[in-house]
Amino acid sequence: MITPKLSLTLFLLLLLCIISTGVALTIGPANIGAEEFINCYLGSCSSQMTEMVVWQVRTPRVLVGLVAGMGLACAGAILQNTTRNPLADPYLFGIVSGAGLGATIANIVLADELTVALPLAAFLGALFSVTIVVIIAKAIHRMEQILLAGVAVSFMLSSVSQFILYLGEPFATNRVLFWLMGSLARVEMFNFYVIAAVVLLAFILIFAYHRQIDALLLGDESAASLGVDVNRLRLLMLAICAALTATIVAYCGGIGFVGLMIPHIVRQLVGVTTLPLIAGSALIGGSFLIWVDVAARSALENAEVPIGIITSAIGSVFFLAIMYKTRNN
Amino acid sequence: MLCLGSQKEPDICFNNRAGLHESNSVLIFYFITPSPRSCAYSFYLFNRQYSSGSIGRWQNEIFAEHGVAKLMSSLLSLAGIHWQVDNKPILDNISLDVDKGEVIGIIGPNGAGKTSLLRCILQQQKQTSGCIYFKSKNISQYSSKELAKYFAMVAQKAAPIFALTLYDVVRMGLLPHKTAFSLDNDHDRHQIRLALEKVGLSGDIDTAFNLLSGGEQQRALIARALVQQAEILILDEPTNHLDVYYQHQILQLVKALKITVIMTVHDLNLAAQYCQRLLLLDKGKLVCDNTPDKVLQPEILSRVFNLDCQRDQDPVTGAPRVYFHLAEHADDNA
Repeated sequence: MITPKLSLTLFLLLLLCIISTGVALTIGPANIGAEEFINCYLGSCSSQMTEMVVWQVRTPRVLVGLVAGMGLACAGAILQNTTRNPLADPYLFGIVSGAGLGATIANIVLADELTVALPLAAFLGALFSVTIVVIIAKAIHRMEQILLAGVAVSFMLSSVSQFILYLGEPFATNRVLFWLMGSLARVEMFNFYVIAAVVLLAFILIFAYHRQIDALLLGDESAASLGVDVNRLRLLMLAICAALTATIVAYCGGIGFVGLMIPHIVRQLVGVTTLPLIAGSALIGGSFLIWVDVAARSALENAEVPIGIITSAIGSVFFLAIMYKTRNN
Repeated sequence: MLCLGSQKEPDICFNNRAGLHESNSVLIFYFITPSPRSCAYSFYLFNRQYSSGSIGRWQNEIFAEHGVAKLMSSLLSLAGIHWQVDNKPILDNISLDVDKGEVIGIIGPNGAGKTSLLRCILQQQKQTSGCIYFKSKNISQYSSKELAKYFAMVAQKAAPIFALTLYDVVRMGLLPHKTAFSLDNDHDRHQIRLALEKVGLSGDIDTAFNLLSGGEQQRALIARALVQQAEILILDEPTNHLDVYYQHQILQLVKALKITVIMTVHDLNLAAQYCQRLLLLDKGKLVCDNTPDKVLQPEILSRVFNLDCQRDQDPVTGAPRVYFHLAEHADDNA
């Protein structure tokens, strides 16, 4: 129900998200103040150097962080609701290892054209792994056990990529390893447009089906009695999660645990029904990844910490905290 | 009730599945039987002109496999429902009509097919043969969303995840009536509040559903069914896990809703008290379909439940009451 409290919470989260975006733009090795940023956006940069940093480094990076965080958090929220598993995370169902396999093959076979080949191969790899996972889950007639199938497929594909890397050249191994750790350092505005488009499409589809997704919260049978085609809905939502995660992984590499963590925080704030959950997850997820990226680029002098390392570190602690908190249930 | 002719102005209606009918010097003997394979009723009609002096031959006119849309006027009709799994029949040739406003209890031992029958009616599982008609239309012609507008289900156990609130659960009932991209409006919220009031749960609507007592959860699901505006309420063991007070509270509530109710009930005395009509199932067969007084006969029950059975009357309501005892010869039958 849209209570004044819920509206206020969502408004504050929106404010947080906007402020985070604004502030994060001004943080980085090159010291560019807010005033200069505004000038640059209005078309009068003080120097070419500043213009380059603003348009080609800072802006794409913060915007990709924003939409990637939104996408990952929403994918996690939807996955948790549709698989009825509070510990579900898009990274747990084979997407990253599939993308990793794609990236590995691209690094070995198409090493000269990596800028185009790597995202594409990673995306195809991710879709490939999700397809296998869904086929397995359908074959055993238990769509709710899709996460277990995902873990199995994940190990299988990882072992394949590790075998290829073991035989391959050390440089390729290095590149793949760094890529898997996740980073927003190499992103461009074009990446932002692609990810934003997929996120927008996902929002529209989720909005169209929000009542059906809500109905699943009380169990499959209950949803079916309300006229929901449970298996079809689950498949559609998995496809959305897969597309979101695969696109983000393809450009940013492995950024784990955002999808697991953020929805849990959001549920405490705005409740469990789909619309507020997705709105809240998008806003908090976006802000979260922006700040993690700020930490990634300013924690060490002269070097970047891969963003996936930070999210995994925070996420694993969070994961244990959830397990501790729910130990009595 | 079965009618011949057009839906609105039937030429002739019959209250039973077989009988004699007399009109305009024609004596008609008829019987109606579900034909399991073709999803229709076969209507057999034999007529005979009679006038003083001449007795004609019985003429055999068979209106075989008439579209039941023409024949039926009950709200819900089951015609020869069979359901089998691996050649093992779970439901065996079940035919019955349900009229609007009836409160029907399905009773029988474990494994008799009570829940399976409910699942067939809801089309959550497809019968092997036979047909179900709802409002004179084959139920398979309704989409699952349309069915959800007419049938509401209160399952034995709900399995909520996360901190789903009471309000969220009742709100789900809006689903069949809403299109994609729709938001709740004031009318919807009013409906939800009315439903909650009707089941006596208008207190704290933000309480987590899984913190409610069993009886409150059942009432919340009934409120959801009210928001769903269903015409037939289907309940699977609504009194399971409830204490005596809540058992009576739930059944009283269900009865007071004045809609068509089909429910499975384990407690025969509760069924006798709150249902107008009982269906006794045994090994997938419909053994009895009648008023509680007629169905709860010690001879029938002791055969079906394999227990000695005695019966008397509830001193207050006058409903039949049955008692069971382990038969001394039970070991022989086991």
